[in-house]
Amino acid sequence: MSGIECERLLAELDRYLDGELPPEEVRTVELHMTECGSCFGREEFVRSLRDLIRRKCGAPPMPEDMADRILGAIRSLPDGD
Amino acid sequence: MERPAARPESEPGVVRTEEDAEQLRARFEREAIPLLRDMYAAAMRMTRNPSDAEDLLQETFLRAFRGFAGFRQGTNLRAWLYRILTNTYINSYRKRQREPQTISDEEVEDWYLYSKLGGEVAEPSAETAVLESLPDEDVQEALASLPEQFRMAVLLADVEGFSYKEIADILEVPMGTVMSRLHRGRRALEKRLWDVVRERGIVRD
Repeated sequence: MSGIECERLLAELDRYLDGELPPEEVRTVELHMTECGSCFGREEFVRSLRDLIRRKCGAPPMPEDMADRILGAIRSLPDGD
Repeated sequence: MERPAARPESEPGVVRTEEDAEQLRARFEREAIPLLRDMYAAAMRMTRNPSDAEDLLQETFLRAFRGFAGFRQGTNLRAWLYRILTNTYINSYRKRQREPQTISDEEVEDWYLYSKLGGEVAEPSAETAVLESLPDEDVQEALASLPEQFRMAVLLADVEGFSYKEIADILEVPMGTVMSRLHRGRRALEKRLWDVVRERGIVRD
C-alpha cells in the first residue's frame, strides 16, 4: 500500500463494496483500482471473503410442513385479535 | 455487489378503505407468507437451532399478523419482518444464552487477515483458498462467537444483504452506529477466522 490515494481508497473500501458510496466517489475508486494493483488485490480479497462468508452461512431448507403450521397458527387466531 | 432485492410491497395510488378480517388475512397470506423461507433461514442463523428457529418464526409471524392492519402499503415488508424477528430474538432468545461478551479492547487492525494469510501462503490467489477449505460450521461458529450487536450487524449486511439504512431501521440505531458495529464486527470476525485456521492446523503461526 502506498500513497495518500491508496489510503483514501482503502478507508472507503467497505462502503464501496457495500454499495453505499455516491456515484462520483464510485468512479474515483474504480479509476484508482485500474491504476493500482495493490489496491485491486485487496479489493478482490475482501470481495471473496464476503462471498465466502455468505456461502458458508447458508441455512438448511425450511421443513416442508412449517408453512402449514404457521398458517394454521395464524388462522386459529380469533378475529379481531 | 449483488444484494437480495428488498422491494417495497407498494401499490402506489391504492387507497384502502374498509378491509374485513378475512381480506386482511388473505392479504397477509399473499404478501408475508412468500417471505417465510427467507425468514426461516434468518431465524436459523440467529438461533442456530431448528426448534428455536421455529418458535421464533411463529412468534414473528403472529406478531406481524396482529400488526398488519396498521401496516402501511409501500413500506418495506421484508425489512419490517426482519425488525420483528430481530426484536423478538433479542428480547427472548438472547437472554437465555450466555451474556454477550464485548470485543476485547485491543482493536483488531485493518487488513489483519489479509496480512496474516499473505504472510503464510505462497501464492496470493491461495489466500481465500485457505478459508475455503474450512468447513461451513467453522465459519458459522466464528460468526456466532462475536458479541451479539456485532454479530447482528455483520449478519444483516453480509449474509442477508441489507443496506446500512435498512439495518439502522431494523436495529433501531443511527446509521453511524451501524457502520461502526459493522466495521468492528468484520475486523473481529477476521481475527476469529484466523484463529480457526490456526487451530485447524491449516497454517502455522
